[in-house]
Amino acid sequence: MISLQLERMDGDSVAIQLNRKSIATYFLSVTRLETFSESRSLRDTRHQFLALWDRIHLADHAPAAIYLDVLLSYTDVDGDRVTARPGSERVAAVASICLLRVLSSVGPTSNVFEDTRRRYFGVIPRMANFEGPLCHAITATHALLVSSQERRPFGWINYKPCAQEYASFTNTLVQVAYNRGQHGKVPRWVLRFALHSIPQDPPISVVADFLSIIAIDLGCVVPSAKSAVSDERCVQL
Amino acid sequence: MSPITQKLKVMAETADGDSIYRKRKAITAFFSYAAWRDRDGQGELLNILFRLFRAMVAWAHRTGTFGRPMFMWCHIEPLVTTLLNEESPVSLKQVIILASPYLPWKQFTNHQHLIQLWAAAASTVPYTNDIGQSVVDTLFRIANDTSSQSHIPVGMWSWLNKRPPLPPICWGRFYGSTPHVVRVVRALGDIEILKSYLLLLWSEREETWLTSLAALYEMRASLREDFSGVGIGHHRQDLLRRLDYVLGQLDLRSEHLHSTVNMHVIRCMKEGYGGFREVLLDIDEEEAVAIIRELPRLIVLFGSLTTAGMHRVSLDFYVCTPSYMSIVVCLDRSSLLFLTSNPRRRSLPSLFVLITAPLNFGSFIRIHYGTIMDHLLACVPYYLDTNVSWITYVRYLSNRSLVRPTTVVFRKLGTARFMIASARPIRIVSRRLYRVHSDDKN
Repeated sequence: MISLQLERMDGDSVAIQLNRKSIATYFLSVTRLETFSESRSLRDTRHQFLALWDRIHLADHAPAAIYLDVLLSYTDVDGDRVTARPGSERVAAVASICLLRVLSSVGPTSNVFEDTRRRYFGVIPRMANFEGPLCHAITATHALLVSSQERRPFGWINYKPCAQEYASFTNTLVQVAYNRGQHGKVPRWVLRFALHSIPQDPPISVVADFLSIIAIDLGCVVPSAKSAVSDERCVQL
Repeated sequence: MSPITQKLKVMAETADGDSIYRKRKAITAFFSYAAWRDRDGQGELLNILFRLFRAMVAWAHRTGTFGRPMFMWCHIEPLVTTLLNEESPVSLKQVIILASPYLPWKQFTNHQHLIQLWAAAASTVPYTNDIGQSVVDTLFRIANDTSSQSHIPVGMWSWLNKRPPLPPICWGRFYGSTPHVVRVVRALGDIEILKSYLLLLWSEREETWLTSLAALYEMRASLREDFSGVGIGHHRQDLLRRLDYVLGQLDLRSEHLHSTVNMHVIRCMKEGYGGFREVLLDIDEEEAVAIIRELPRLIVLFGSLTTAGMHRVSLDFYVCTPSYMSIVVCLDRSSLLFLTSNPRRRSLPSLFVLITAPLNFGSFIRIHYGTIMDHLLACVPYYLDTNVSWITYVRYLSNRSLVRPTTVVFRKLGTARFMIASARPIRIVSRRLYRVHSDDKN
């Protein structure tokens, strides 16, 4: 059970209690609401959700299947060409990041991982070519599910997320690096993301995430990625 | 010290190229961070990273894997561009100049522009030995790539004249000793740069020895063609000193080596450097013999060109040693003729006197000794201050229609014609004189 402090549209705050099932319901509600309306208050709700998710790792408490459902239902597949459904790019990106986070916390041989892979590749081709804005989060999820030999190469040149998504995404990548580092090597595409992003003068919290990724890859002793926060990281800024 | 710094420090100390290679993505990503953090270029982080770069490059060369992508620089090309940019602070330019030997210049999508930026940035950074090393090392690497070398601004080659002390194993030497780089440097037509280039290139370390026979032939050709001539004997002396040092070091090294492979390489190096030495000594000897043989003929010839009084030419001539930098012929007590000398020193004004005495050559050589010396002393500071090279001076004369573009006609007097060409006036003058003399005999 998780307690959330949410701001309502009228400015008041409300405390809600969420269990595993209600988190999934909440996520689905937020994503679907945004699909039907682009009003600012709903966007704020989504950001609020993301912020909370980032802080208390909501994604870890919901099943991967929920996020996979959302992701698959908001993507269009045309041969190898895969795009987020117009108007739903942000929802697909959020679902991807959540899915990425859940998958990174389970081993590549776990049932959850295998089930997700099977369902995912039932819809998305292995050599998928992701196009459109915010496709990088989906591409990252794809990269986690398939080896580099089986997918198209991709880069981060056009990745220009908003600050909120940037922080969430890099924080998720720290977890990917941490969990994958425990099982072998930090994925190459994660390091390439760090390579590409550090010269772009990112916010300090994001730099801290990148330094964590580097530290993990170099084999430094890093505390659990979940407990790592910017002022307790293994790196000195 | 953070765990990352500690880890990198350990890696740098062990210099395990394979481990460094496997972590190249993380290291390169960390460089992006360190460049901003240690922007004065002197920080511990950057020093550690540069040691890692060096260790991995050395390892890649040792294991024959330098064809592999070394670091992930292509992913941080925007950073490289930003650091080299005109508006970038000098401290950051300094960082990237120091890192420049490790950059894969030809792999950058916009490498032509980056080379221009690099050249401009290098000129704005205060000179230190480290900076000089990096610039020279990079210059050799870029020049090694035929698609990039044409984008090197000509002025960058003058960095060679600074002759920074290169580290014993400097891979720039390896890249810089290919035949086409030798040709590029020769084509500059600057004897000082060419000499500096060879002095920097020649090393006693077998790791950077280029085994290409074509390169050896090109260097020998350069020594034979570019360093022959009386006026540049001091350049030959400098090269000989370096060769003696390198050969001495090779002798010492061969005493302590046990590897058969290394022994074979050192034997090849000794042969190569020994060959260069022989070429230089041969040139010295030929020049000395030529001058000694030519001087009496010169005296006779000059006598035949001038008035009757000149037949009583005193043989009180002398050659300024070492390496025949100046040849001064004293025709009699009051007359003195500078035939040739070092183009950068007295020869230039002395030739100037010869050339600009068009009306009466005979009267010129009877000018009082003191008058000529006053004239020369007045000319020398001017030419030295303005740094007018011999070629420039010939061009200046050409522009004034005193001479033809490729050949300088000294003076047409009677049956003889003195001609000089190119930047080696002395040798050609003497040859021409010899021919003239032969013609006269016929």
